[in-house]
Amino acid sequence: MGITGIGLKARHTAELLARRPSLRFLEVHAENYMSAGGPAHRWLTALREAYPVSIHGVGLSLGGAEPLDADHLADLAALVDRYQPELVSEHLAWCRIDGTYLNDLLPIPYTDASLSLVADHIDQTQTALRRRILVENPSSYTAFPESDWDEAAFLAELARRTGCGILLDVNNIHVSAHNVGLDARAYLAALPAGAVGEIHVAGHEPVEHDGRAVLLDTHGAPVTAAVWDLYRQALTRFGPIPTLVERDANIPPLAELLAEAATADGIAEVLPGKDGAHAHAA
Amino acid sequence: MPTLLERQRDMRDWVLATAGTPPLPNAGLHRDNTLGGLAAVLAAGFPVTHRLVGEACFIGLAQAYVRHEPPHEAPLLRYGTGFPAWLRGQEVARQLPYLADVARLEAAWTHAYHATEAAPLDAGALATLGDAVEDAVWRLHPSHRFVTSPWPVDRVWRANQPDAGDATVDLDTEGDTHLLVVRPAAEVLLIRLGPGAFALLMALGAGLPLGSAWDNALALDAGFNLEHELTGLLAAQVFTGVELP
Repeated sequence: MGITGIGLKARHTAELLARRPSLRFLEVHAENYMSAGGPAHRWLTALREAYPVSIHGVGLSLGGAEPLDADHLADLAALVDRYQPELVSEHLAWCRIDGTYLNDLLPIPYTDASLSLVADHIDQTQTALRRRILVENPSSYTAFPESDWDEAAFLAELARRTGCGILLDVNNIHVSAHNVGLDARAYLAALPAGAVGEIHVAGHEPVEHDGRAVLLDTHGAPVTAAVWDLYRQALTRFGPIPTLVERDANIPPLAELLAEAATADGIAEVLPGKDGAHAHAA
Repeated sequence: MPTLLERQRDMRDWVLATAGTPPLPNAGLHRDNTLGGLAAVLAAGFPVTHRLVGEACFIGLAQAYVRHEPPHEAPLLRYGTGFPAWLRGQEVARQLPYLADVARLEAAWTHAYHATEAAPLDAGALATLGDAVEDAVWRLHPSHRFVTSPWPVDRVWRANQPDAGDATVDLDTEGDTHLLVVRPAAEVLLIRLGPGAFALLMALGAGLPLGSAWDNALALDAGFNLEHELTGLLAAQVFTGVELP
């Protein structure tokens, strides 16, 4: 058993049920299961018998300036009760204002006021779910002039105040490093070693926007060599943390995703152990 | 400096507007992401409508609808329930007069797909009723929706499935459509009903006992054969229970 899981996609379900490939976990987007019934619940119920589940929310709006949507939080709690996931995560971002939901993970400025607000929202979520959640670092395309925290320190302080863990998306760090000038190495060093509970790796695409080269976090391409390199650094610092190969667009055949998961497992297997010796391949 | 609330309202206004000055560098990426993502959600929920008008037209319609009625909740499984009614008022619906009804059928299909599960009617429960069966209320599966149209929207729907081949639909002679859309198990069923069966199920769905529902059916179709219709509907598992009121 490696440390790597994949996202559950409808087109892979039959093959996963038939072949049961070795995977550390399956991750689903919470909002795709916020229905009373339907085939998606039937599939997840069947796969739940074979794999641990990770529930990854994209719509709670932890960074929203308005109160959390109580109905949404209740639906999330019901989903967590139903599937008993090993991991539950959300984003350091906002997506909802005045009752309008924008289908994106929008950035917030890193100020003291934002910190108190997001910490309150995380407290409220962890209370409602009766468990710790992981909070994911965003991919950034812009920096706010009013920010007076750097992102890694902001996340570390959220973890300290609320007891939440961190979902470290190394592709997002890479993308943000290019787009807004983060120092990826310093970012990893600034996060507390015990706080990282999951890692995401994903693909991105270079685009030109307003005459500037931007890296767009698309989850639509294979993981690049630079992101694998950052992943190796992250594992070296944080240990063999459960890792998701995240693909939400241009979904390839299952075999290609399993090959990317095997790449991540291969990196984990040759890391120096705590005593300096190399860990054995399984 | 603006407050967080002001920042977020400015971003929302910019993302949903068609013009204006971006509130932050690269805000256009977020506009593209939101509108593109929501248009893709609508394209996935209305695949036949999408196919009938083509990619460029659909994306234009979808983005206009998103600006008109953005989502109010994060789960997008039900997003677009108002799209068929909105579509009816658009120019393209004058050119393709059946388009909004096809979209209405797709919205009913999506509702049934995500609806709550329920066990089908047990044949034993029916047998124990004996002669009281006409006094009983018959419960329709909770996933059901009725769709009616002057156009053969079910045939248009079937002819535009990925595996349908080159079927043609005669819009002039195959119309006056009454449909039951229901998901008793894993698959959504589109069941075409005659006017009598439609009246029967509408009455049962409204909670009338079978005898009264039968009268409704006979009023619309003097040749209505209850036993024949019920046999087919029971085989399709569209009922979940019978009970005496």
